[in-house]
Amino acid sequence: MRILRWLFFFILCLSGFVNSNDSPPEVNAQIPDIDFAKQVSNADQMEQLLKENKRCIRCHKVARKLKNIAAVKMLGAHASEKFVDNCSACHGNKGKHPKEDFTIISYADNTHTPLALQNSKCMTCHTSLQLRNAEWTHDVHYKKISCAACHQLHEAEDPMTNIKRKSRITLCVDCHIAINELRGDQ
Amino acid sequence: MDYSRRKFLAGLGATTMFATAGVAGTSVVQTLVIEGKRYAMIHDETLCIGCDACVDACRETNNVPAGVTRLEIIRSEPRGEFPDADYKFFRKSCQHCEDAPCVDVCPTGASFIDKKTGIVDVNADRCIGCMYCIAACPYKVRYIDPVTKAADKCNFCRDTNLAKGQLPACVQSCPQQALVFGDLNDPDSEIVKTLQQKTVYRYKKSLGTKPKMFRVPDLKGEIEL
Repeated sequence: MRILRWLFFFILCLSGFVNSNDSPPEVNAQIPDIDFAKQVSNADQMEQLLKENKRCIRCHKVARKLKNIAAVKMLGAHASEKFVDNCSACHGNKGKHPKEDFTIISYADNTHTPLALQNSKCMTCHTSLQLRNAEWTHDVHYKKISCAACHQLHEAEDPMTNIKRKSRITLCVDCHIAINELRGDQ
Repeated sequence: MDYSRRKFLAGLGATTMFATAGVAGTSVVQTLVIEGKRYAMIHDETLCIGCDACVDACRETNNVPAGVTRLEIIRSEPRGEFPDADYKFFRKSCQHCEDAPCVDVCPTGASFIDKKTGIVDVNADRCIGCMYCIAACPYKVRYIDPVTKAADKCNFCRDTNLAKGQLPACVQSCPQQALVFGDLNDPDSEIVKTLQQKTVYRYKKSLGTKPKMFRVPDLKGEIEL
C-alpha cells in the first residue's frame, strides 16, 4: 500500500515537471470541461450537440478559398475537447447556414446578429458581478458595444487577459477619439 | 481690493526686506501679487471617462517615479445596477490655491507661488523635507519624491510642457477634452469662456484657499431633471 502511495506521488511530481516544461502553457488545461456542462441536461442533448459541432468542423477546419473564408481554429479558455470545440454553445445550431447565413449567431461590431443577443449569449455563463470585478468598464460598455469588440475567444489567449496598462489606456483613448470624431462629423 | 491686516503686515515685512537687503524670493513676498498670468484648470466630470491617460502622460512628461503620482483620477462606486451602472470621476491633483497653505507653512520658501503664472511650485533645492506642506495641504496632493527627497506635486508642467509653449501633459492627452487649461486674466481664453458657459464648483472652497481647479459636476443620479 505504501509503495503504491509513493508511486502515485512520484507520478504526480513527474507530471508536474513535464507540464512546467511546456511553453506556452495550455490555457485549456486550466479550465475543466465541467464549466460547459450546463449546455446539456441529458445524453440525447449531448449527442445532438456533438453532431452539430462536428458539422461545423467538417467545413471550417480548412480554409474555403473560393469564398475567402479562413480556417477556424478554436483555442483558449472556451475550447472544449469533450464538447468537440464547443461551436454551438456560442454560435447556436447550424440551421440553414450557409444558405441563409443569418441563422448563425456571429460576434462582431458590424454583423447581422443584434448587439443585445450577442452580449446576452456571453451572460449565459458570466455574471454581471464577475464582469464588474474583473473590469469596471464592463458596466459602462455592455449595452453599447459587442463583447467581441475587445475580446477574442478563438485565440489561445484573449488579448484582454493580462493586457498591459499602457495598451489598455491606448484602447480607451483610440476608441473614444474615434467616437468623438464621428459625433463631430454629424 | 480688500486689504486685510494680515496682508498689510506681510506687505510691511516685504517692504522692509526690499529696503534692507533688496532680496526678493521668500514665500511671503511671492504670495502677495500675481503679475501677468493666472493659470487655472477645469476638469469636466461630465466628459471624463476615467481612462487614466492623463495620469500616465503626467508621469512620462514630468518623470514622476513609480509609487507616487502628481495626478489621480478617483473613480466612485458604481451608480445604478448593471447594465445601466456608471461611475463618477474626480481629479485629485494640486488646486493651485491663491492662498496656498502649503506655501504659508514652508519654513524655507521652497514652496512658492510663481508670480508670473500664479502656479504653486516647489523649489526642490530649497526643500528640507520637513513635510509641513504635506500636512497643511487640505487636498492631500503632495508627496515626498523618492528620488530627490523633496516635496513635489503638480505644477501644471511649468518646467516641462509649459516652458516649451505647450499645454500641460494631462490636457494634451485627454481624449475627451475634459480638461481646459488657461489664463483667468485673459477674457478671450478658452477657460474663461468655458467658465462663463458651464456651472462649476471648487472642492473645499469653504476653506478659503481660493483653489484654481474648477470642476463641472456630474450630477447624474443625484438630481433628476
